[in-house]
Amino acid sequence: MNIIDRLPILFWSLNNYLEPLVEDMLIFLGIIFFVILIFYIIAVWKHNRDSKKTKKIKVKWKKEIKKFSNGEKQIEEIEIEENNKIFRNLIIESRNVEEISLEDLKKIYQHYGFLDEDKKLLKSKKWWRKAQAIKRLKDLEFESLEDQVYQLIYHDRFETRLAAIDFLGSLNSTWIYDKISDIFKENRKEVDQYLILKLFPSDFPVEGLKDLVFSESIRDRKAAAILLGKYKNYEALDLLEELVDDPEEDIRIEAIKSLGRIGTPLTVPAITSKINDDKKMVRAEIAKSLGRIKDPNSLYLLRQLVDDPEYVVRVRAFTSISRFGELGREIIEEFRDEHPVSTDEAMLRSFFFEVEGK
Amino acid sequence: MSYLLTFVIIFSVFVLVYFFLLNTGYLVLLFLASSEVIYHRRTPDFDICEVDACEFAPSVSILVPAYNEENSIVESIRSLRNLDYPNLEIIVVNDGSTDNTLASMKRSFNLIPVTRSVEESLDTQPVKGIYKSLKDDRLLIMDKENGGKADALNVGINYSRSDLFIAIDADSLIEKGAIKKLVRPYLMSEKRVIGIGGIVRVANNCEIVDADIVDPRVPKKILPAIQVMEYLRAFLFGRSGWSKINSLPIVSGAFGLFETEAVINTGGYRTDTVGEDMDLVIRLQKFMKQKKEDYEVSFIPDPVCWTEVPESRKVLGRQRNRWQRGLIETLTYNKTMLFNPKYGLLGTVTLPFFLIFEMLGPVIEITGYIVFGVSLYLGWIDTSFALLFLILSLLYGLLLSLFSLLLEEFTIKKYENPKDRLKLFLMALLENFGFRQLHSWWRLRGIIDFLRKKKSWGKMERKGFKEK
Repeated sequence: MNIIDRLPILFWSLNNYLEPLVEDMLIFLGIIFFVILIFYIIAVWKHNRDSKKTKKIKVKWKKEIKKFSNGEKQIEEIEIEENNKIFRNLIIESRNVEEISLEDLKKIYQHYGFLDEDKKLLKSKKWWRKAQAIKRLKDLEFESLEDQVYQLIYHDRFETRLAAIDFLGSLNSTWIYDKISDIFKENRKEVDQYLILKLFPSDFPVEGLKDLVFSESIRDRKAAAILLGKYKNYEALDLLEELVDDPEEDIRIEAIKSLGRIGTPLTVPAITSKINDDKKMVRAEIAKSLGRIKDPNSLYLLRQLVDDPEYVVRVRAFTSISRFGELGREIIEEFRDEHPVSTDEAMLRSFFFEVEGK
Repeated sequence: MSYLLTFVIIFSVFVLVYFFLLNTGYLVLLFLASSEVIYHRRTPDFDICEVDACEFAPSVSILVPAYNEENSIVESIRSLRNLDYPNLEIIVVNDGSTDNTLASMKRSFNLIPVTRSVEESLDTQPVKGIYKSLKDDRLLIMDKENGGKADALNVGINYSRSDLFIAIDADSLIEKGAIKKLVRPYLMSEKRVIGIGGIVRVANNCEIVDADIVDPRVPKKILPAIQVMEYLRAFLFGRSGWSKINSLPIVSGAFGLFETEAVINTGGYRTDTVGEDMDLVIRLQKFMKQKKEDYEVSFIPDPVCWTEVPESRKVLGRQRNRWQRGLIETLTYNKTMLFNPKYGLLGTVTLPFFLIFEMLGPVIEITGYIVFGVSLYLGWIDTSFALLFLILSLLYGLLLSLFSLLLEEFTIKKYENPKDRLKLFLMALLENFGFRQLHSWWRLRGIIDFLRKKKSWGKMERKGFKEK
């Protein structure tokens, strides 16, 4: 009997050999399947029940808030005895409700033990428990815990560090006033934009940025150039003047942008010191910033920029000129034949400035 | 006859090994997906900016390629205008539509012709006109010669002035708040994030009010309802899993965010493929790996984009045929990455997985049905063994669907009505009888069409979203 003739036998033997294995696998998977199916059905049923319960608790909570705001009830008398997590979330969600002040919500949160629970969670070994607790404390603006949250800006997990920075930045915590450069050092450059977004609302003094301004790292100087634009007076002027002369194009752009954002005519000399910069985007930013400041004395500088060989500079200069109202529109008309494309775009933008009142 | 028998035997052994490897792969993916979804649920839901600082939020352009979308385009733009992202620009690219797409936009949004000078970094078909809306400063409409979806997206990229762009289909509805969630990994990741995918869900039968989905429902018709299950599995279980090991090979063309600079550096979307979304994501990663730069392509299961799926067998068949051709084209264009350790897990695991199980899957499945039929007829097969094996593969598929449903149940839970959730389980069961085989057939046709060098997109029929 050659191998070909023996094939059917071999095949059947293989089938017979594998059959018990497949049978076992089938039984095993079948059991897992039914267990999970039952688990799924129970989960659907439970979640459905919870969702109905949440709706009921929400209605009850609204009534309780009303009674509280009418003075019919005290904090201790608020009756929400159901699921703790639902109650906790309801308190946080109510922070923008008119009937109850944030201070009262905080008292309720504290009275029902949620604050103590969050304090404990700040010491939890699980990063997400810490991060979630910080988020809740931030939502309810518990400034009193800033010393504990502050420690977490050095935590191993970046998610927790970022949560702590979010808390401290949004609550304008004094704890980070001299730690700005540490915060940038502790985190990778990929999260710089996040750090800037979160630190921008904080009122830390200009001195907090000195280390970053004179740092050797380009990313530090760039962050400083952006953050310095938050000061609404010229206390940041000296440091920004340093950065306007930076060898890096990006940093010069950000420094000029910040000077424009500060928005006083006193920043015009620093801005226009780079009017002959080699880089077109620097000149374009100068044109844009002058439009933000809207100082009539800088109109002659903008007129200089509308003759720039680069389109982007011209269009930004025309757009800035358009912000000077009737006078600006007259100037643009003068150039319409010479630069039809850039003047058209500028006029359209000026239309939206007026519509949106920018 | 003996040759046929030899083939049957070899094929049967091959199927057993294939089945074992495929399911082991799925099992690993399942664990990875669970871990990824849990991570996203654990990470607090941070708002990316406070009111004062929102001007520093990265700028985002939404690119909407539109070809003959007169039924849905106005509603889509209305829904996009409702989005609450601070630095947003909406660029609709009319790709030489032959219907009234442009006229309907002109009528609804008070468009005026404008000029916009740009450095055209990517080669595209010529632009015929640029329009801005006097109703909304953020809205820019490009009118261009027909060149296909990828070409339209490239035009959008050329004219975009934003840090990031989101490519969506003209019939997609993005949930309010979804862009902030989509941008979050870009701001909060320790690596440079070059692409982020969100979850795409089925909008058929959902209640839409004020251009927003208010009551997500599973469609009443079986075909779209089965697709709800498919999308859940593909996104929650598939993409989350690949994302966990940072080798996500695809970000859906219906809803994906990219870093504009990285895309321009890789040459934009490829115009000679119907799988431009997958091709872009793979080329982006190839580029980063070659530059030896640390990067991430993320998938987040929460921001949701709703899309209308085909309700007829014919249109769905065309779509799946196109998807299959897109996959093969992408793998062909990027074949140097296959089994190449230079490209990390993407080259050694993900792309080979897609080649062996996704691309060749329909060939093996259809051949399996034929071999099974022939062997049964000739009495070569042990019926009880074959039956057990069939039930086992069915059960395994069901188990994966059930896990996807569980992930959904414990994380995002979009469908409030419990009947909808149980209906999804029924669909997971039902799809095995007829739909699955049909699906393999459509994909096999896709392979044949690829070999015949067919490049067409295939006509899609859309009803457009109607407010209830």
